[in-house]
Amino acid sequence: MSLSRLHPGGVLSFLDQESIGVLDQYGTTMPVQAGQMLIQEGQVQITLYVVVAGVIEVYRVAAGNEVHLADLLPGDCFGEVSIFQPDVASAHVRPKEPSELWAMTTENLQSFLGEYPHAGCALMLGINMLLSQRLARACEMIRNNSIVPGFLSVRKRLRAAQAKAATQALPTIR
Amino acid sequence: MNSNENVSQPFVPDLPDQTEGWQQLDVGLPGLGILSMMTPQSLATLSQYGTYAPYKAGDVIFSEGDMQDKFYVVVDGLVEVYVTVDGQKFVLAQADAGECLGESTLLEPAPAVNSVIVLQDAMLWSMDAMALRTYLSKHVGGGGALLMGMAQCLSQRLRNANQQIMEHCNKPTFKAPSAVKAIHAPAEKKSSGLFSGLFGGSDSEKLAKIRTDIRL
Repeated sequence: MSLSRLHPGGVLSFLDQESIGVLDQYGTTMPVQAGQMLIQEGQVQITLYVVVAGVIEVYRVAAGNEVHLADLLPGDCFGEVSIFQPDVASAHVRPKEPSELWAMTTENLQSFLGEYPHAGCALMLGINMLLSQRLARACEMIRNNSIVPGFLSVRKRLRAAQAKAATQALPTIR
Repeated sequence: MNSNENVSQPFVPDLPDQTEGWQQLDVGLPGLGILSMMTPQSLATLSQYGTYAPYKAGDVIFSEGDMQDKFYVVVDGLVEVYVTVDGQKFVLAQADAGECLGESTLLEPAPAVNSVIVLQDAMLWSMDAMALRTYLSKHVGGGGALLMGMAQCLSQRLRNANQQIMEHCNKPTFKAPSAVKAIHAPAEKKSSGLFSGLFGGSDSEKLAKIRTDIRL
């Protein structure tokens, strides 16, 4: 068996080289060109990608402008949220330069988890660790930017905004 | 607590009076939410890796900023999750039986980003990272199902969080560069070393092609 080109870090941190070699067979490696659209915001996406080589850009279009969100490097992955919560993609993804990706479908992930439970657990642990890190950073950003929690109803948000405005208005009245 | 207690039974601390409300419930993890993919047998096994604890209405389970490395499952009762922004309390959610708390800090110990208070007398089951490590190493089938449930929960919460951030992005005051930190996770970062080597080694048994009930 040829050596896998999958990077042994990131979501694969808990897999040994032999397990990575087996996992490799459940996905496909593909070259991608700079600028080639891999994922489009709003489209259904159910594939897990791992960056093998190159740089992949994640961005979003807000108010007509491209907002750069992240550069993904070898070992980074994307699409992990949609694997477990199938939904439309929340951002665009394209290579910044000629790159190489490894892609695994939901069906193949299912097969791998079922057939190699130890290695599957190791992969799941790595994915959960990554999700936890990303959730922690998202929560930190929400906190740092004082973003009012989106769980609140519009009415509650309005009430909160009115209460805040009333509080801020008090000094001028006095 | 007497010393000849049957060790196979779940540990229930401070069980004072069997005539009182929650104490009369059969202690067991609910096969709901994050645990919904686990079989009754796996749930029974998992429950022995954590502890049950009763809480009264008004008890604070943890507060924002508290170092948090435990994972909780609400077995019974009702709790409220809230944050304080600019001194104002915002309720994020109410959690009842089957809901979990602290699933992100279990793998990435960090200060809690919200507070949790008990609304109605509740019983919670909790486990720490070391217990999870032991459970995963000994019960790979149930461990896989637990990790799968956890991944779905984390994915849903991350999607919600990203949605909030994206709504904020559309406001003119948004500063784009800070978004990079939220999405990029360095490939080399392994966080705490607690889980290192858990599934390592070249033991052929670990790569045996067998069937389990892990389902997406």
